[in-house]
Amino acid sequence: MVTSVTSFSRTGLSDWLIQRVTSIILLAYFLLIAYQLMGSVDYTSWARLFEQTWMKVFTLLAALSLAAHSWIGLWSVFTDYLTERMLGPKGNVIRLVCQLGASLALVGYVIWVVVIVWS
Amino acid sequence: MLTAGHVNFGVLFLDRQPPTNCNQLSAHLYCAPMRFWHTPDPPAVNETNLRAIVRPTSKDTRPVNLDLGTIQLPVTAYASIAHRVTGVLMFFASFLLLWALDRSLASEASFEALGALLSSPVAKFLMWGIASALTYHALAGVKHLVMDAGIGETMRGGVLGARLVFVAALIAAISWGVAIW
Repeated sequence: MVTSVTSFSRTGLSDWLIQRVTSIILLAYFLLIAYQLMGSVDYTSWARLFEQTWMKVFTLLAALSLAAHSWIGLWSVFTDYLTERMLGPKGNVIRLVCQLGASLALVGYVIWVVVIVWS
Repeated sequence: MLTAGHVNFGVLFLDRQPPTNCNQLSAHLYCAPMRFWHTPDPPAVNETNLRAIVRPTSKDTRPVNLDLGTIQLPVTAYASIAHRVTGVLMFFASFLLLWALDRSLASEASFEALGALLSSPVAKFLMWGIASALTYHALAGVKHLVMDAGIGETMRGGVLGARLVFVAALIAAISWGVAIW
């Protein structure tokens, strides 16, 4: 299977597991954020929350999970729809360009989170 | 191989297929009682006769693939498509969420400026859209995890799960709307 060269972990089985582990991390993180945003939130308590080490680690973990989860999800979508069968001869080129763009964006997201939370 | 609307009871109760030639006397004794309920199988749907079923007016007998535009999809298909669409949306929405996180933590002034910006109608609609898409994606993801545990893996269970997710996501979307406006 040639297309697996662009998948996140090179095998569908570990992609499957990574997708589920990262989904649980992201779900927990978004539930925490939603809980924090319920009611009125002021700058002091919001900033204090993100100053704590566990929150910085959790945020970085969520960012890494987002990158892996999105990579696997977008790869599934790209390899299903951005193909030569769907788009004609240019299909493979379009898919690889999109895959590259998405991968760079996800690396950018992770770096951005590091800058926001750890600087 | 698909057979349309027909259950072959023969395979449930017999460990071998009934003989195809029922003209011999010995075979007749075996076949005759079966004819009460063992109706012949309808023709199997395959690549060759699919065109005659999908497009009955066509004289073309060349093989066709299933054309998704012409067949009615089950609710599970729409649940899966929506899961993909909301997933792609969240990839783009993550940029806005990260920007908001950046602004909220940069300084107290930028925090207040973000709060003022997010009270505009366009920002509220965007927030509602992102929250609703994320909620649907999360609920459909939880359905996946439940099915991974072996619960609701049948067609009936899948349809029920998809309907539950759609209803829960609709309630969540309404709740987000009430909370934001």
